[in-house]
Amino acid sequence: MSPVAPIPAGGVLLHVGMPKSGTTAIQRAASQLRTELLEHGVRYPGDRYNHSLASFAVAERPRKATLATGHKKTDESHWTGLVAEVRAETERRVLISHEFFAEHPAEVCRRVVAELDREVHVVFTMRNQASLLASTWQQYLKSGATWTFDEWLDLVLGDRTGANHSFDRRTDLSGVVDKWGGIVGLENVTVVVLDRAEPDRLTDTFEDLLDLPRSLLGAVDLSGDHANRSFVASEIELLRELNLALRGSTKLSWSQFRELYRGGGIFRLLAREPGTDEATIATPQWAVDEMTARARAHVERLAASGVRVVGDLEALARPVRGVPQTPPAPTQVPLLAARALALGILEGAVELDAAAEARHRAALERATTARSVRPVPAPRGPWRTQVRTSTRATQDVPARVLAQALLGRTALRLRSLVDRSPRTKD
Amino acid sequence: MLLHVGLPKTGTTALQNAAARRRRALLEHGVLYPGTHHNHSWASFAVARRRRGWGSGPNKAAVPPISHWEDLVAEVRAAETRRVLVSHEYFAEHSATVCERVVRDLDRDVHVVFTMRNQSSLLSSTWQEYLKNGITLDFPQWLEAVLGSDEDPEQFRAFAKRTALSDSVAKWARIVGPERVTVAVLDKDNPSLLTETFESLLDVPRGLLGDVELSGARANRSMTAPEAELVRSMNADLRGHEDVSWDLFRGLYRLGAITSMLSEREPAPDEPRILPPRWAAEAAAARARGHVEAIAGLGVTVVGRLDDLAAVGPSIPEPEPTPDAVPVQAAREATLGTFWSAAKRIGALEEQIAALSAAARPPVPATDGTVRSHVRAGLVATEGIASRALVLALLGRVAVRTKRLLRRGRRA
Repeated sequence: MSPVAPIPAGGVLLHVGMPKSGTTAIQRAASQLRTELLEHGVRYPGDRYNHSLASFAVAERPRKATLATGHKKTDESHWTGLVAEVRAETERRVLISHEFFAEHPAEVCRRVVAELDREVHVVFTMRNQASLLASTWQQYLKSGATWTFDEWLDLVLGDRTGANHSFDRRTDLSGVVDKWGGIVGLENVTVVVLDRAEPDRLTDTFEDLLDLPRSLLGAVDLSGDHANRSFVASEIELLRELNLALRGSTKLSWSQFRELYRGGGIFRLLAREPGTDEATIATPQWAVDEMTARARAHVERLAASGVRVVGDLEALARPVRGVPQTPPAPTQVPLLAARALALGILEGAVELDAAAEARHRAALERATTARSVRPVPAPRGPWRTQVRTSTRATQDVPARVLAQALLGRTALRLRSLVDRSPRTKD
Repeated sequence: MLLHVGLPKTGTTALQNAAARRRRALLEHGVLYPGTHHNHSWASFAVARRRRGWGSGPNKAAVPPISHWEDLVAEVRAAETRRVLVSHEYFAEHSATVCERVVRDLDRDVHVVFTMRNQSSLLSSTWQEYLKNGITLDFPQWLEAVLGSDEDPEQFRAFAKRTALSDSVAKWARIVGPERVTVAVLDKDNPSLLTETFESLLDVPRGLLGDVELSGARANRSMTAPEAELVRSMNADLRGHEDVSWDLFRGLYRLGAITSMLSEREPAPDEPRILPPRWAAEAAAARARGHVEAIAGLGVTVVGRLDDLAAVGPSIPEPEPTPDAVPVQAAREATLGTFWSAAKRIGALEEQIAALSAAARPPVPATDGTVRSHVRAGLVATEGIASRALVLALLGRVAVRTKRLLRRGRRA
């Protein structure tokens, strides 16, 4: 691949998406190499694997799943913290990456650029649109959706008006490039087109843009990164069935739901390595055709816009093989998949339970020691013993407080005596 | 006093549920079914000092407090009804010492009733019981362990006890006398034999225990082969998990995942069942034959056909291959069950936490330098200390301080 010119020193490379298009690979590599990147003049801010919290915070977008009750507001500090770290970095280039920056409303994008207060170069990663359908549907199921693949395809690609589905924002390739081009200038936008035939293009381009040695990012072994693999057909049917049953009745908070479902069950489910003979999800031909036609229109608009493109735009609209019809949903699931999902949720539940137990213990503790003093009954026995037990029982209370209390009690007693004494009329 | 001592897996749950549901009707007919639970397992565990759950390992369960037994005894002794029914399937296998104490404590004319069924057909359901407690042996391995040699397997002593039919009967016959022991043998062709036997023994009208619509009976159904394999494969992880106590195992897994899987789906008729291989069915039947002969010689009352215990039940020539797939519905229910039970458990804890926080006493008010505010803070901070203790404590401190001053003065 011929080299791509780096962004100016001290600039910010903002990787804005698209979802399911190499974002996880870049983020995993960059977060694993955080220290090495610093040595090579690049800061990958924060300590998480990507900048999702900052992205949600600046867009004031709550994190939620269809199945959890309520949702979690993302604290503003996630964004302001990122901004502070970027501003404090005066020499190095900075890489920021999250796949929802692409789809944020224009005013949010403008705020991002204004607050970062640096020269911002925006990079898009994109891939073949028809082959994205199955994995995008799976992404929705991970968040609790219950559509079958056919139902979902019909919803996002069938005849409809004004559905305003998030799918539209995530596939509006030329629209999001236009939007960002309008904000940072089209000359500060790069579109990288992923291609199976040239798997290194993704990391090579980022290395060039950040003026890093070639193959620094590419050398990170992501083979153990199972969290991002696709589901096989039986697994996704199991999840869909589960979502149907859980819908609207989990009564768990968002964070609890997330820990049980995504962090527990799905994480463990994806850790399984499916057999090569297991059926994957096949996309019906009509949907492939429709998606390819839409992609073609975007390719033409992108080509006409003059934005810098690494790779072949045509790859986005290259026809892929579809099936005449979606095969019937499996009725059996591999035992190991069932086991992984159930165990993952169990383990999540065990952790949640331990956390709740700990908070319960703490609450009990607080309830019994809410005030510094434990009850002390009136002492009995010989006089000396009485003095000793009383002194010992109140040893945590400063003498000053004892004296104040005594004063107060005497005053109260006097007042009640005065109140009770018969008043003589004259 | 009718003491139903087992054996396990002989329709005991159905009978106990029926008795619990008809507690009031039984009373009207002069029979007390003590307690409020569906059976008397807590009392049974308590009197035998037996752990309820895992008996060993770092996460072993606790022995229920003896008060469970004492409460039962008190209720039985105070009973003014003509008859009392106590039922738990482990009384049969308790040690002779425990059984003697049971009879002594109850202090009534105790009549013991055993329910028994065909031994070879009991194998798969007994293995499933062990599965629900966390074992990881598959069915053939387990059969080999319990039937493969003549020695009683260390790990499955309970199985040995439960199949030593004549030993249990002889033990109880020694304690209460053979004339006070009845052995009822279940008959597939006559399913009401069990309840009818109890109705006769308790002298209550026919059908009182028989026609109870039992909910939850489905949770007691047998697992299919894929379901059992799913449970078995999960057991290994859970038993090895240091954070999984018996309480959690039971609450989240056994009553969550497994119960939900069993009660919330009806397996298709063609889903593979669990049947013992021929050799195991024959071995179990051969063992039962010896017990049948021994019981016949004990002089106890037998209802049904004793020989049925030793018949060779359904079997398969060779073990089936281990399933590597499960129905989506089974996997779904196993997962959902965990969800519900976790949500319930954690929800209950959250409620308690909220209640505790609401009830927490308000903090000591802040002071602003004025005497009044200090006095108010002092009053709140010492709430609960008796005035007398307060005065004496102050006095004591003054004394200590004075003594220290005097000593220092003397040294100087």
